[in-house]
Amino acid sequence: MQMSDKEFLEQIEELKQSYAAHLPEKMQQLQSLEKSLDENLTNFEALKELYQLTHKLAGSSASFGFTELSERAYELEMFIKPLVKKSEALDKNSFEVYKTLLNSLKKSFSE
Amino acid sequence: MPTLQKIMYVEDEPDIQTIASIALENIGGFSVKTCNCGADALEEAPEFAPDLILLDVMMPDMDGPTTLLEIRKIDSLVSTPVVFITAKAQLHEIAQYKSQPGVLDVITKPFDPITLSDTIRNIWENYHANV
Repeated sequence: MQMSDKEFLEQIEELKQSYAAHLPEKMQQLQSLEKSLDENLTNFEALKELYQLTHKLAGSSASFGFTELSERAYELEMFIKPLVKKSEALDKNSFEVYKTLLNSLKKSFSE
Repeated sequence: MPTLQKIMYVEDEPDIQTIASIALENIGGFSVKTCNCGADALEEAPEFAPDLILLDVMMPDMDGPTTLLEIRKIDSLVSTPVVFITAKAQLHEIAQYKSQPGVLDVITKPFDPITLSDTIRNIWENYHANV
C-alpha cells in the first residue's frame, strides 16, 4: 500500500530518529571493544567484532543522514580489514593509526 | 521490456532492510519482500517469484555470491535478474561476480534511500535496452 509523500517523508524521518536513538548503544559497543583492545592488543576476537561494527556503521549510517559517521567508520573499516583477512592482530606499529582513526570515529558520533 | 514489480531484498541488517523497503514501496511503487539471510531467500523466493533480487554481499552463514549459486539451482529462478548490494569496502571483491549471467549491476552501500528506486529502475532499463 502506498502512502502519501508527506506520510512517507514523516516515516523516513522517524526511521532516522530511531536510528539516531540507537547510536549511543553503538558508541558503547565501540568503547567496550576499545577497552578490550587496550587491555590486550592481540585480542583478535575484539578486532573482528570491531571490523563487523565499523562495516555496519559505514554501510548504513549515511542512509540515515549520518554522512560523517559513515566516512569515519569506513576509514577504520578499511584499516582493520586487511588485518582481519590475514588473521593478524594489532601490533605496536598499527596501534597508533588505529587509535587515531578510532578517535575520529568516536568524535563523529556527536556531529 | 518486462515489467519490474516484485523485488526481493536479501539483507541481514534490519535498519537497512526497513528503510530500503519503505523507499522501494513508496517511491518506486514496487512490491517488496525482504529476507534476513540467504536461507530465507531460498525458501521464499520460489513462491514470491520476484522480478528482481537485490542481494547483499556480506552476510553471516551464507554470503551473497553463495546465495546466488543456490538460487540458480532452483528451476524457476534460473534466470531471475540479480543486483548485488555491497559496501564500498567490498566493491573490488565483487568484480568477478558482476560478469555472471543475470547479474545486472552492483549498488554500493551506503545508498540514499530516496534515490534507490530510480537507481534500480535505471539499471533495469539499461539492462533490457541492451539485451
